[in-house]
Amino acid sequence: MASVLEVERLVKRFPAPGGGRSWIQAVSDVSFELKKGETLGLVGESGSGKTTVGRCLLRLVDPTSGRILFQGGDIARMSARRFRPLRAKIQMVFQEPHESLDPRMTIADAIGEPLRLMNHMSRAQQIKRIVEAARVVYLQDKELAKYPHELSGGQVQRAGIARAMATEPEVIVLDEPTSLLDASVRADITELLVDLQRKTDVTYLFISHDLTTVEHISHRVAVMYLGKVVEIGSTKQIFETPRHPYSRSLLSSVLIPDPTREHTPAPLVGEIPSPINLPTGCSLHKRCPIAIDACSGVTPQLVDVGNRHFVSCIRVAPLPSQIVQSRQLVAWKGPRGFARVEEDSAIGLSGQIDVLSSPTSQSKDGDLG
Amino acid sequence: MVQAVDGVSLALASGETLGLLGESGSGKSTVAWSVLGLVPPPGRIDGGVIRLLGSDLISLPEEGLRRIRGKELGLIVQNARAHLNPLVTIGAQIVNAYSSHNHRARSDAHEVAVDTLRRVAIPDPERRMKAYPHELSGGMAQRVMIGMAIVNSPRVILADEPTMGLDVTIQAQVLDLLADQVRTLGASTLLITRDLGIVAKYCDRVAVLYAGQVVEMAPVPEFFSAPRHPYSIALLDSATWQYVGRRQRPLKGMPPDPVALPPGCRYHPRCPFANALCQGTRPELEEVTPNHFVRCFRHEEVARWHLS
Repeated sequence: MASVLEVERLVKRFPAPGGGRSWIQAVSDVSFELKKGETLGLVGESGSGKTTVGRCLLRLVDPTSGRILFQGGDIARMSARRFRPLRAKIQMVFQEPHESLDPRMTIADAIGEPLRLMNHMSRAQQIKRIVEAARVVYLQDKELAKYPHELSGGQVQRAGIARAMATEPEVIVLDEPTSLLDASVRADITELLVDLQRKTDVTYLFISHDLTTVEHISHRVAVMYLGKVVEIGSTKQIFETPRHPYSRSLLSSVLIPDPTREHTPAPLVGEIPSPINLPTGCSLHKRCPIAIDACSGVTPQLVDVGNRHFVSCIRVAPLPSQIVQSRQLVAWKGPRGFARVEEDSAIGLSGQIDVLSSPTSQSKDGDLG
Repeated sequence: MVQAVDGVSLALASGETLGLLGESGSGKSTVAWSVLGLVPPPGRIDGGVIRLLGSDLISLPEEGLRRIRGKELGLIVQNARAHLNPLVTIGAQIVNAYSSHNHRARSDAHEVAVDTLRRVAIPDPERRMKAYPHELSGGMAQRVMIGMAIVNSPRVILADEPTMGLDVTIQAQVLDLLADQVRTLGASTLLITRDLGIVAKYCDRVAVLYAGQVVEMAPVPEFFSAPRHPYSIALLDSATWQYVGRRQRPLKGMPPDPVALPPGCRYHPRCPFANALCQGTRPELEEVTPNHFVRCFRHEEVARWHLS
């Protein structure tokens, strides 16, 4: 599959409230690509930076550094004037349907607003496109003359999707489009999105903390924690064999509507720390059940553990250089002689991998070899 | 006039957690506010009895009700940060909740409050006493609210979507904590939710509310394995379809407008099983197997269909 949009080493810092020289590191060093016609699920808790990533793609916030490659240009660096024609090709659907549409605009005007910004369309063409877009999301023609407050949450969310689809975009960023809806309406909207993708081959970045819906709708999933992608892989890899301790904890917190299912959460200690003073090394190490001393010193990188399943954790996927570093740390702290300790810790590392899950043999060889 | 809740009868056994399940507008919060005698005007309770340990709360004068609220009845609502007083430290708010029912020395109240914060797993409770609500995370504010609800060892806790809007990992922490504290107190809980995952893990029984009426009430294991109301089945379907891969019976249409309720069964316009009887006659809640109540004329066909 061809790549539609590539994000490379995206960083976004906000000045911390209260002035001074501290920064909130909302997004640090995030890279991923979106392929034609696929859905990438972006999951994480509040404050993980997932919404900021989505907003950078539309330049609703300006990235601090990094590149966003789309149709031969870099969105991150583009002038507003050059970005404007591209704007029709990347659209967004927001979480709160009633708040994201102008209460004084009819549904038809709301759907047509992005079309008016595309200068070349005649009014007749616009109306035709509005009606088409409304039909695609199963909004009846009579709803078009109404105002948002006259419609239900599910209907307004359909209108939001119609508005995003009206300009025939390549990419739609969906920021928690279903999380405030009742379960039955959520199912309707999810099915509608899947259906639209099948028909138009549009690409979705689906941002959500609703993991059940993410699992259903996504082809691939990226897990974010404190501004970083800690794990990325196919939906099957992430949901069936998550490797990062944070992903494991997040997925085990989902309550499955089945009382006969044994529910054993893998809890993390405490809450997500402030993004103002990020911990050194791995940002999870203070809450992580399998952290070792090295985790506070070594900054982990995304490493392929097999079949394009990337994990950023030195306990799961150590880089050769990181193994050396952690050996040295153990050696400095250990009571015994250097050579002996090095041997022990090498055994320890492979043992740790076994504790976490059953890794493919290739990944173990690749990482340790 | 809108009838938000109509003829709802619920009984909480000692130590039991009853889930009250419903979608937006089903009337589930109105039930909780009614129990507390806090229905916002112009709303009012038009009839019925709310009995707590033998005394009827509806006929009780305001003064008597005030002695019970916060003492025998603890309340936990969603979005705690919005419900805590933003101008008062959380310590003072818990002290206040305690001393309005216990006329003892202030120093004792302070100790009780610190201990309560410790019980709800607030780190460094002595220092946190001086924190204002805006300094707390959503999860921490929710734990403070649980602390305020349990400080007087209530017999009944009303929890109205206590984890709505919290992240999943924090949701699990908060609900586990609530379940722990309730168990320690031996209190009964009315847990209002729209999440069947929460019902499955934290409730003993469940009552399903539709358009202000209980349409099904059953022990949790039986509700999940053998639901008998078409609406319950549709709810279960919308919560589990992602696991199964497809929906059996998508819920069609919208809940009725409470000012223009349909005649007969309130669910019949959306119900795939509805017939002429359902359109004209109101079904009553009947006990179909011990402890399993259903408001549906066609529950036997529905159950057979569901099992097949």
